[in-house]
Amino acid sequence: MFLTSTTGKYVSLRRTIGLSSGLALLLGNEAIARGALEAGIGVAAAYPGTPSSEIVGSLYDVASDVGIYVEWSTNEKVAFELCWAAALSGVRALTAMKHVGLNVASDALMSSAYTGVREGFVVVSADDPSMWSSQNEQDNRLYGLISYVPVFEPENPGEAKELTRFLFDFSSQMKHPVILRTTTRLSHTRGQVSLGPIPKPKTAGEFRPEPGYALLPGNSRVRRLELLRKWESIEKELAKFPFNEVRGDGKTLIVAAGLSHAYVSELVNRLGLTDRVRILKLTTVYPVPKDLLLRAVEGVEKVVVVEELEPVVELQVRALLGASGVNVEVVGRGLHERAYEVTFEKVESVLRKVFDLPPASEKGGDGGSQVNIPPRPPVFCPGCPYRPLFFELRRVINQAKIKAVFAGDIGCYSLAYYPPYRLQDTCVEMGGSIGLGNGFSRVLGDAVVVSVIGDSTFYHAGIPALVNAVYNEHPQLVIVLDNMVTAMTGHQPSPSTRLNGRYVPLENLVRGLGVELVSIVDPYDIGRVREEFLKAVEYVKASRRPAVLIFRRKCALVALDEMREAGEPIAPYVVDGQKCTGCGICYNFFACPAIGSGDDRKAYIDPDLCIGCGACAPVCPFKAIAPSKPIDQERLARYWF
Amino acid sequence: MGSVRELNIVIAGVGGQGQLFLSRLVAETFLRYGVPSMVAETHGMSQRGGSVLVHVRVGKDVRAPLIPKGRADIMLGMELIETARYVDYVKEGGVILANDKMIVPPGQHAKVERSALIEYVSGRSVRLYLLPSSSRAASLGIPLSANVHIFGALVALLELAGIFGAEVDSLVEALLPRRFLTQNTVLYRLGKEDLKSVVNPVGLTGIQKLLGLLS
Repeated sequence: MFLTSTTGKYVSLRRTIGLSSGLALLLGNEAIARGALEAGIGVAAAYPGTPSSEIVGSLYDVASDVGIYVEWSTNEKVAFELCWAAALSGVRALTAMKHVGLNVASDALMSSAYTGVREGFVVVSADDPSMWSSQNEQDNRLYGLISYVPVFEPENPGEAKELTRFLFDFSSQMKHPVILRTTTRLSHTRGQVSLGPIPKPKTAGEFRPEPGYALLPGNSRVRRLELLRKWESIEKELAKFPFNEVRGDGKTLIVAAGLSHAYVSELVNRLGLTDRVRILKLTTVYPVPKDLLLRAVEGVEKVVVVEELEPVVELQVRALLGASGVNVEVVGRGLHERAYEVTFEKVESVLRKVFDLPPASEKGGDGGSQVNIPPRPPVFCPGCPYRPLFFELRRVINQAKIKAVFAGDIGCYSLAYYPPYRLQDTCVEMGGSIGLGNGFSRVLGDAVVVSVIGDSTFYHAGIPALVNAVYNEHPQLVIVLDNMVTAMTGHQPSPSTRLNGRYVPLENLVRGLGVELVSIVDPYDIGRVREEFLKAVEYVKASRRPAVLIFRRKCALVALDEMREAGEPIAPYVVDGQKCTGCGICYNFFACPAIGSGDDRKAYIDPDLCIGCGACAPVCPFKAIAPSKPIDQERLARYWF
Repeated sequence: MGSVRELNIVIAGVGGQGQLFLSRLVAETFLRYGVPSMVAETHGMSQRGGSVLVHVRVGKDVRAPLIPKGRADIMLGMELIETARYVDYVKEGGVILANDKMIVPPGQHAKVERSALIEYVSGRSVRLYLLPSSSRAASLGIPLSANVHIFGALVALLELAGIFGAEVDSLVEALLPRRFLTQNTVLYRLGKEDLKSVVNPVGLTGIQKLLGLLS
């Protein structure tokens, strides 16, 4: 359905394409996409990353209907640069990335403030408070401070659409890139959006050279001074920014931006505080407009800043009030835990403290019986090619007593950190596997260093590290998991995805770099997994050079989708209760979610969850697992490769 | 209908069971009645067979997406362990419509008992209605559509509470998945019937009282 299909995923945006008025329920990310369409963008590009993926994903889905150019690029920097060039040439462009993606594109971001743009350029940074799908909780509003790029934040999908459209005009007017900052909660909240017309997009540009586009030191020094002057005019312009708002006449000013404002608004009503507060709703989170703040603070006795993560707005408020000689108490930091996303509970406790209300009564644990509720971390899907691979690697490492360090990476395979596989000792950032592998293999003596990286992540940031491994002779075994798609984020094409027959073959690339031992293995073939792994370990030990094993089989969700599309019957596998001894290898160590066990410890396959892949059959030492009806797995292979 | 101020529904289940589609059915139905709604979805890593909680907030007073614990009027439980995990989101006297399917996480098989879960949930101050959603869906040959059955049950509940009128069926049936539309329509209607047969007259009064406050 919505989760797995590779086409028609963004039906909600697609359905609105013919409409120029009325209401639609759109995901925050789709609303941003719609705003960009209504602003007449000609180009969009991105590398996928939760929670940003649906922005360019939904644009990709409607690109040919609207007549714009949209691509999935190899990484965020490449996507940023493509869009930047379009905007330099007078074509409106949008790039979107998760917060840590902007780290990858940050080199480009810094220079883009120096060059400026000729037409609107919106950079969407989708941050991930609470780290639902990320390695850290960085607050990318701070990028505004270092780059001199203004940062804006909407509070709901409806406003996200309007703001995005407006920002293209603002960026065009100021000839400057802008950052639209969203968060997981906003990006993945569906809400009402009022639709406006979509103009005919301008997709062809014209390049007019300027010295400020060539940032050699002499030009950069000039541009730096111009940037500082431009920043003053941006600050001035933001004083009348229509998405900011001051309301109410109370003696306490609450300053809130983005989602924090949504929580504040609802709670002020619910707690009966309407007459006691004035609210400054901020959409311009950096820079906070000075004149607006000074107006809002007139006659108030106290300022309360409610914000998520770092005190970005609060520090500006303190600095602006201090510099203007306004002597009023400001509170914010310390009223609640800085970590994790803003919630009703958090904002309510802040308001109760500030207004001296009794603490809210705690719900939960109302005296009923207790029960064991087992944790349910995310797992590899039924049919996932990574499961048999990690199952067999864990087994061979235990049996052959190999001392190994696994430098992992970002993708579905990060889940191999968890039992029963435990094959990710590190997982730090995109491409970090081979990069750390270079260092580990230099200093860890006789331990075998194995880097594990997916195809999409390898193209994204793994290649420079592998070039380094070859050139500087770092003895590590690199495992590339090639499921021919960027799976974790929703099946966007990676350069290994066959797109109208076009792709960039991994093995050619790796051999071309000079890696001598390169093998391509089907991860379902656990006998060969074992054999090739042991061979590669020996090669790395003996030659002191890197080797690459490519484990290739399509993501099961893609294969399954294509089978269903083609009307292939799916025959689940079953366990023969006579042969099953209840050893538990299949449900405890192979650990497919479709395999469970009964009171007699014998295995049982849930026919609703089993996709008939057959990967579990060779795992059973007693040959107790077989298809429920005959399946021609060789014929089905075309869906898997 | 236009007067719903705040109705909070949490949807609990296992990634892949169709919580997102279910939440969209609910929100789109209210949109057709002109009532604004917000749905906080779960994407990314948790989708991979993990525990999923989707927040649906409906009504004109709603500004923010998340439902705090103890403030959900209704829970739709797609799976028993997840229903138990999130039961604290349901307010005192709230309604839980729970699919009686249990999906045990890998490696946890010895440690969970269906009867203990049901006892735990019904021991709270909530009204629990168990529904055979998965088996109904399976018997129609669309095992992954238990969400459509539970949606039918929700619509019937809101009809009993006087929030939806008889016109709801024609609004809703246009939203059902087009793949296997005939089976899905049957399943939706079965969901409505099943709900009506498990809600006894005493419970019904309670539900009308509970949800009647909202409209």
